[in-house]
Amino acid sequence: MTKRFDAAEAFAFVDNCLAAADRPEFQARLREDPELRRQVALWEAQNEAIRAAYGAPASARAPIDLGRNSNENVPAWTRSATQKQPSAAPRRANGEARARQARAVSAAPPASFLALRRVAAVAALAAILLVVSGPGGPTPPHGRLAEAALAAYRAFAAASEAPVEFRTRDPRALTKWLAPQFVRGIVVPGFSSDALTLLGARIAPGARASAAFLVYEDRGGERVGLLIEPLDDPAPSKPSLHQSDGVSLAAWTGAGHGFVAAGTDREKVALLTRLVETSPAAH
Amino acid sequence: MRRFGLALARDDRFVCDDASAAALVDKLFRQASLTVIDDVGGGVRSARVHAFGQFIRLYRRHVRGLAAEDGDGGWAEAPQPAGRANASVTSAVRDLPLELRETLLLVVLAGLSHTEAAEALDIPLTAVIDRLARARARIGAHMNAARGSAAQAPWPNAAHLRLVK
Repeated sequence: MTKRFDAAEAFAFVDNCLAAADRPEFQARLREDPELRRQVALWEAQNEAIRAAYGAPASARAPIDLGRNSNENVPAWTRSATQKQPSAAPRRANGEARARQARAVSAAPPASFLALRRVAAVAALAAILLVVSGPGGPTPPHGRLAEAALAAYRAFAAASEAPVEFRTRDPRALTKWLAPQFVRGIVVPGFSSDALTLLGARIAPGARASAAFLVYEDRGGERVGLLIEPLDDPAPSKPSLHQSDGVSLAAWTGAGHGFVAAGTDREKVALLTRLVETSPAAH
Repeated sequence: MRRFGLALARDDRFVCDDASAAALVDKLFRQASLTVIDDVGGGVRSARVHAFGQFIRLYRRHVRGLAAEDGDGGWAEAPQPAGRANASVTSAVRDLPLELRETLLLVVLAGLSHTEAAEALDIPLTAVIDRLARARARIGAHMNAARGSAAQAPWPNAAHLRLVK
C-alpha cells in the first residue's frame, strides 16, 4: 500500500535542502516506507542523470541506503556486544569517588596546556591521514559505489537509446579513449565471452569522482553495466551483492579501482563480475 | 552558472545547437554582469541568487523577443515532440516548458535551495514545489514514452503525490 507523503519535504531531501533538524525524522520515515524510499531513489537517479548529462559534479550528499549487503557476515549479537551499551545500573557517586575525582582534578595540568596538547594531537593525526589517504579521501564503502552504478545504469544503460559516448567493441581502443579523461588510467578488462559483447563506454558520476561506465550487451539485447572508479589505493575486497528495484549489483575493489557490475539479470551480473575479476586489468 | 545558462538556453526551439547557445549565454552574461555588479548587496550567496534571477529575466526577455518576431504567443511552451521521443535526459529537459525547465535546472544543476530558487524566480515557495513536481513527472513520462513500456519504467512519476501547503 502506497503511503502518501509530503512532496515538499521529499523534494527538499532529494534536492539536499531539507533542514538538518528535519533530516533524521525523514530518514526514519524512509527506512519505514519502501514506497517513499523507492520514489526518493528514483528522483535522486533523475537528478544525477541530469547533472551527468550537463557535466555537473555529482551530488555531495550521501545517497540513501541501498539496504543491507547480502554478504554482511557480522551477526547482530556480535555488533551489539561490541557497541557501547548504556549501563544498566546507575553509577554510584559515593564520597570516596568524589574525593578521588577532586584529587585528580587538582593534580591535572592547566586547561590551556591540555587544549594545546589536544590541538597538536589532532594536527598530527590529520597529517598522518593526509599522507595515508591522499587527496581523494578514504575508500568509499561498497554501498556508495553501488549507488553510483545504480544511477548510471538507470540513466544510461537500462533504457537509453544512446547508452555510450564512445562506441567500440575493442577494449584497447576504449582504454585509449579513457586515458586522457582520468588522472590514473583505467584499463578496460579484455575478455572473450559469447554471452556479453562490449558496446562502449561513457563518463558517469562515481561515488567520489568521475568514473568510467562500460556497457555490455547479451544476445537478447539485455544490457549490463560496469562502473570503474579510480580510488586511492583501496584494499582488495570480494564482491558484495546489492539489490535495488530489480537491479542487481556486485561491488568490489582491487587494483586501485572500485568496480560495480549492474544489471537486471542477476546471472549476467555474476558472469560479468567473474570475467572482470579474472581479467588481468583487475589485478 | 555558465553550465546552467547553456542547459537553459539550448531548447531545440529557438536555439538548436551548442555553439549558438554558448554565444547567447555569453551575451546575456555580459548584460547580467553589468546589472548585477550595481545591485550586489548582502552576502555572496544572495548575490549568486540575484545573478541567477537576473540571467533568467534577461533570457526570458530574449526569448519573448524572438517569439514576437515569429508572431508566436506561446513563447514559454516547449515544442511538442514529433514521433517517438528521444530517450536522453537532455531531450526530456529540453521538452519542458520554460517555467518548469528553469526551476528544475536552478535546483538540480545550479544547486540552489528551494527558497533560493523561489527568490531567483520571484515566485512563492509552493510554486517552486509545484513546478518541480510537474517537471519531474514530465521527465518521467518522457522517459517512459521513449522506452515504450511505462509499466516497467524506472523513471519516477508524481501521480500519487499529494502537495501539502
